[in-house]
Amino acid sequence: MSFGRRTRPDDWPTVHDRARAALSDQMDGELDADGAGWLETHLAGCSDCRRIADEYAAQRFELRALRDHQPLPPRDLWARTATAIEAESAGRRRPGRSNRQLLLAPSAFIATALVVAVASGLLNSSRLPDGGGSRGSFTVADASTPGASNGHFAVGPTPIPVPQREVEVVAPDAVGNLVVKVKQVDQVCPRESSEPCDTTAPAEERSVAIDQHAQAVFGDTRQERLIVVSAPSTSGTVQVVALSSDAGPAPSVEPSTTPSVTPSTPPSVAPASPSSSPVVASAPPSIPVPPTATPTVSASPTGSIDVTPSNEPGATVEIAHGVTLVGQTAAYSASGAWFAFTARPIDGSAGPDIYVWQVGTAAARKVTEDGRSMFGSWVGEQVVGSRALDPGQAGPPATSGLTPEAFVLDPVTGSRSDLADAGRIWRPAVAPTNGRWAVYWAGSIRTVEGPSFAPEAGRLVLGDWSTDVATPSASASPSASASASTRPSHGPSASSSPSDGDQALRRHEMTIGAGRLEDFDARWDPTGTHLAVWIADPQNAAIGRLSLYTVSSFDGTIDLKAPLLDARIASAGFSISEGQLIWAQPSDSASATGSVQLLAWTNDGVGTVQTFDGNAIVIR
Amino acid sequence: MVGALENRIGIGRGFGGGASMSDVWQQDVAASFVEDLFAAHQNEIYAYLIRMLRDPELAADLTQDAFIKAYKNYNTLEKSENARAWLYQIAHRVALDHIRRQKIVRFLPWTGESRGAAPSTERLVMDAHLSGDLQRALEKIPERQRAALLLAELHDLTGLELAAALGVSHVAARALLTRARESLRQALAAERAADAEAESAADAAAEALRTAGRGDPRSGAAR
Repeated sequence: MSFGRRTRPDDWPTVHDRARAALSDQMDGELDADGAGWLETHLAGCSDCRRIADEYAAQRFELRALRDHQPLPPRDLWARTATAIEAESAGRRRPGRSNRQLLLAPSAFIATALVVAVASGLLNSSRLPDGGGSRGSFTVADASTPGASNGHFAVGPTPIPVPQREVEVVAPDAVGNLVVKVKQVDQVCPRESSEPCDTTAPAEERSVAIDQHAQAVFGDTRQERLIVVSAPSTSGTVQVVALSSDAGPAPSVEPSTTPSVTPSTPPSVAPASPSSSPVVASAPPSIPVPPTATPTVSASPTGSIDVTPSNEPGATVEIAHGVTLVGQTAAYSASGAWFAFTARPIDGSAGPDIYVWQVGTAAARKVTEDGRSMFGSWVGEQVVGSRALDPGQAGPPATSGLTPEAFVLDPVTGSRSDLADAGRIWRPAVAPTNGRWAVYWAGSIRTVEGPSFAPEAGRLVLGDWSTDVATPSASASPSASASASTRPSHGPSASSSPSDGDQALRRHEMTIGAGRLEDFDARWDPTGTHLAVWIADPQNAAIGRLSLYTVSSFDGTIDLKAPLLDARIASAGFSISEGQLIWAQPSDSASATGSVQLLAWTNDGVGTVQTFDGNAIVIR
Repeated sequence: MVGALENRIGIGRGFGGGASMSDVWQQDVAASFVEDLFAAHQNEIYAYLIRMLRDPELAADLTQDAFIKAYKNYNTLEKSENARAWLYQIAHRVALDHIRRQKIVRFLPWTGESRGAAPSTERLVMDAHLSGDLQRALEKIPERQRAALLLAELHDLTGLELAAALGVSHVAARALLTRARESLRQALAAERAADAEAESAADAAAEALRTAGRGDPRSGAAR
């Protein structure tokens, strides 16, 4: 009926004005058939209008290219906005009905809701007006005033009840053999209490023999097995010890059953076809290295151990031999079907490489071959790792000033996607649940004895992960994500290596630690709202300082000034799971023995408890 | 529907007066709602404002303002499926209000300069990835036209959504886009003509230098 917005053609000053309006409408899909017919006829006879049509198309193209840069708001924007909204509403509401915790501590609020669901069934209270008591955040104030939440005041520390949980360690039994010890904990002490409060529950010992030279022990959520890594001074083994009769072949022995976790992953993962590698959605399809370049069949350095896993409790399978753990970071994938760690030959003949072990198989596989790669974390079923790149000058290999580069690796196919655009990122620990941020070392790398690699100059930061790298749709606008997958590279640093300053800004990096580090281990709780960071002591990398932070699930900010645990001395190897952090406190000098500490966070606050005396290895 | 939506923005009564229990309840609903909106849309609203104003700090401030306004005018949103366009409308008004105020205060044409003396690093990073011509041309066209183009081409608002966000009728939004495309086309052409002129002037200067410095081995490298 109409062409453009005017019903009478003589409304237009000129026929060319009408053509421009029709062109514009056509670009927006708003030109009807009559109008399109008229436009076509007009353009056929008007070269100026054809040129304008071309220019409109070109400027649309240029405008849409601006999507390549999706500016991200500052991390503290929600905190600022919430404060302002609270101020806005303060004058409007009755006294004593403060909304503070809802508005100011959204992450704590969300985590609270998870615990509340278990503890008191008050999940729905989150949106009720009179929820003051149920919105407690895990603050020092809450923990130190148990009366406020328990409704009574007591002299001395009042234990905080927590959902019952188990603390598992490996420690010597009465005759000095290493065994698994378990203690049930159902209450903790307010974190600020000066009096220690110990649970008196007896420890239960499990009759599972552990390698007497165990250095690190990893558990799984189903408590089916332990992975025991022996000290480097011995034969350097990695063993799987069955705990229960279910511990044999895992539900996903066949690679084809490996669950694909991220929605962006192609639904069918064909293990035999590297070209189908389900690398992160934004990774350029051409990057995965050819299958010949990535080992998919190599076993441990001294050959594979062909032992069929047994289902008997205590049965042991050696999945790697002649290697030693490098770094403290090792973990199961999201589905629990894979375990990844970093190791190097015990004889020092090569540097670190990433190993993966598929649950139920006989041997761990080395999935990198450069002797310069270290495991960072899992994103779903994909390994996120990083390697130290030589600056490339002539002469002997550099020992300092190496550049880290992150990559994503598919354990099924072994194909690797380099994330060169990501910037200088070493050992990223990507947050579970949303994958939008990660803890990583942003800086240079040096070689250390081993041979291995360690942070040299830079910062340990919490920064954006998804922006340019992993899942563009997570934070970008719909328009940005629509075009992201078609570009060979994207982000502000597509063509050149960004300076550190750019990277810090682009990724909204918050500094957790800085300067030369010997080692670090950053791990998240399963909800992604709590982050534990252990930083090795410069003198003795077997001990370090452990902190626990609450992370806002809105914007990934952490309050560095109010950690739930602040730089406590801890042995390497802690355990973090939902609502609890367990670490071994080493004996200091000759006076005190070591102990195992538990910090639990619940709706009622934060509390700690000493669970075991003496030296022990925390099952991670 | 659009008219009703747009007319209600800004005239919402908020939660004024003596707070009753139900007001308190409503405030909490609004706070929850704005939390959700913020989580879902903060990035695109911020991106829109930074593209309109070319100043990251200011864009952050105005994003905050927009969400506060969303909280205060929560009860003017009739249907939750309109929330995105409604939010854009608020952000759009916040941006235009700011530009208007800035024009009055400065008594100068708005150039999109940062409030700070020096452009921030972030801005420089951003500029490096924008076509300079396109950026300058965008800054030269009227802000309502700029807004229409950005919302349509970069933020994928179409039809009634775009009209709601711009606070105008559907027909008026289409007319605005038509004018915006033509303005930008002419502004781009002017920028490129100016570029070409500057380049030929620079070439001429270099040529003059080369001619004057004939025999100087470095002169050839000046180009």
